[in-house]
Amino acid sequence: MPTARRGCPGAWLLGCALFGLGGSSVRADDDVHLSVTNTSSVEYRTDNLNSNDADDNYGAIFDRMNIQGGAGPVDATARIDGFGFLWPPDDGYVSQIRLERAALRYKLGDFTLEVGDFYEQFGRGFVLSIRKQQEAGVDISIFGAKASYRSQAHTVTLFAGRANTANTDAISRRFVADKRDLLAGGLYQLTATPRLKTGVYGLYNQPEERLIDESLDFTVNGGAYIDASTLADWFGVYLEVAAQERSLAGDFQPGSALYLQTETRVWDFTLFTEGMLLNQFEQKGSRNTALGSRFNYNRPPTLERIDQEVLNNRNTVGGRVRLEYFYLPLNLLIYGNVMLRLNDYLDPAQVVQFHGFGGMSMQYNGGASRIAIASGYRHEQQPAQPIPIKTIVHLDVDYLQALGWDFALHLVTQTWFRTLEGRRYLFGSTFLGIERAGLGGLTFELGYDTFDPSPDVRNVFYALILNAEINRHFTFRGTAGTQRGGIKCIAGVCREFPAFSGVQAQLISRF
Amino acid sequence: MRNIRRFLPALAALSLCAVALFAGTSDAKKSTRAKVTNFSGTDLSGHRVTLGGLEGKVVVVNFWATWCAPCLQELPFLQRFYDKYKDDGLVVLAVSTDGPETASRVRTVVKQRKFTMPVIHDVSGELLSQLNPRGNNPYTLFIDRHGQKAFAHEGYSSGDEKKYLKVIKALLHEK
Repeated sequence: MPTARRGCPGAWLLGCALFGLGGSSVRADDDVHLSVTNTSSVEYRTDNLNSNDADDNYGAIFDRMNIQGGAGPVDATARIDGFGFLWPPDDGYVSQIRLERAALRYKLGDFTLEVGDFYEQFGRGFVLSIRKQQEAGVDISIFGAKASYRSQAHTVTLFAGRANTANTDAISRRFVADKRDLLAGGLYQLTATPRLKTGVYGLYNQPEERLIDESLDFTVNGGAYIDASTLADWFGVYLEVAAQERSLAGDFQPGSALYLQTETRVWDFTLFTEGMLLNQFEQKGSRNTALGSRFNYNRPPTLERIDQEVLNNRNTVGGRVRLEYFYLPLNLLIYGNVMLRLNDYLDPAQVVQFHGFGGMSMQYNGGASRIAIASGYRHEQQPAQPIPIKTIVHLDVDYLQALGWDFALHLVTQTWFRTLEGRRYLFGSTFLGIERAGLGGLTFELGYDTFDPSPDVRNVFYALILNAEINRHFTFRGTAGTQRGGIKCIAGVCREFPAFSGVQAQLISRF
Repeated sequence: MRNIRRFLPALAALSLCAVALFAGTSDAKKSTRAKVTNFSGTDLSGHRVTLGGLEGKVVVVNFWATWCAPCLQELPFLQRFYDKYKDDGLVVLAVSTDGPETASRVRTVVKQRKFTMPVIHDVSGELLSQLNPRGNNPYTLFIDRHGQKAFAHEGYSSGDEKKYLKVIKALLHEK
């Protein structure tokens, strides 16, 4: 296992171009500009009692420097990642400094040419969705070239490149090997009126890894959408269809996708409906060496809440209905949501998923305080089986009370009473914090996951989180204790946190 | 251990590089602010928005998402500032970072709350990568009349809007 990598030569070449562009001038001088966002982190992880010794008792130093600069019509970005591990449990943790992202962008009127790392999504992401997904801990770009033309009426995008994953997994901290999966495609969108957009797209995906050496694996995709989300002041509709042909080990497998969404507004009520069919539809790349699973290059809608676990979003049919009442003077929202999905719907072992929930949110004290409460029930079952695979009764509360002098008390709880194949357990987190605008916040976090009662598995998690805005350039974050993994919002910032046991100090600087 | 010894100096240099190179060169003073890249996007009404096209205006760019509670608390304040100061040259651009699973909620939130400030749905994450490299929500960037970054703030706590208002007023008074 190599211990140091420095990225591909092309990326370093682009990085050098960026520094050359900035040169010695780092401040506003005519059109030349350069800005830096740097995140430095030092941490030590103790045994998180998850029955896995391979993520315990090691230290780590991370640094991520984002550099953005430009001059006139040329704009450039680069990201340098540095990782150093002390006492790593195994060879999966690799100390390295790497130019992880580099891009040059040239704009001439309605035309843009990009070389290096870029992101792209077609429609609602059925065929392709490669975008920054910090909240999901996913970090993939396309390294290649993209040309686009955007006018009021027409958008044309053409690109080709290789998938470029960040080489240290954000969650597990493990090394991820580069896989040179080929992605090439294009999109044309016609904006006939501001209320009606239509688009067509196509994509070719060829993973570097093959199922068998003798045969090339690839996927050819095409799709179209009609976006009339503001067709009328009271009504909107969005429709997307896509088809794909996958060649795996010489066998051809067709796939298809259909998605329809409507929104109807009457007085202060909004009725939202969504229906989706995914028939063996997926966009897989090579294997992620940190996770063992294959990279996903699409990300279709799920019909689910954003914090919901979605096990199968490739062969499913379902829909959801959501009714909302919104009263503007109070920013009061009352809603109910019902979702039904059938996973592997043509299989006798299909899984029926039902989720009904409702809640309210409002702001008061002139917008300084807020409260949001939601609760619901989820049920997943194979019809032929006597007991459900999973049930969840959930309670979610987000309560922020302004106390005066810019202080606020903040209570957040996401608590799930769950069963998994008949076994009952409690899962979730509760945060209680005090925040002050312009200064930061101190939060106590209590996490719980009682699924595995084994003595060597942690069921209760405690952590203290300090967030301090030192000045306009520097922010400090410190965490000590143990944390359950998942999406969490702390001191006003929402993002994905890994499961954690130990101490971490982070300094964010912006210039 | 041999590896970390080799990389420690380089990592330390990397983390201090920003401070050493740039500290003091882009403070709040108008003459030393850094230019912001000339980004562009299309708002939900179908109008093209470019920073170059907003020259002479004070521009506030706010990154938000429909699932982000602090964002939804902060946005009405930005709408109020926009209502009050748009005639004085203030533009507020609310950039939604919603991914495919919540993209359908963006217009609903905007319609319900009767936002009239331009709202851009950053579908591919292009603006996020140009202006908000850490990718957090909410993130608010204040740009002066000359297209230069005057202030940036990550997160939202109750009372932050007072600081925002001070910054906006100061920038509007600048020539």
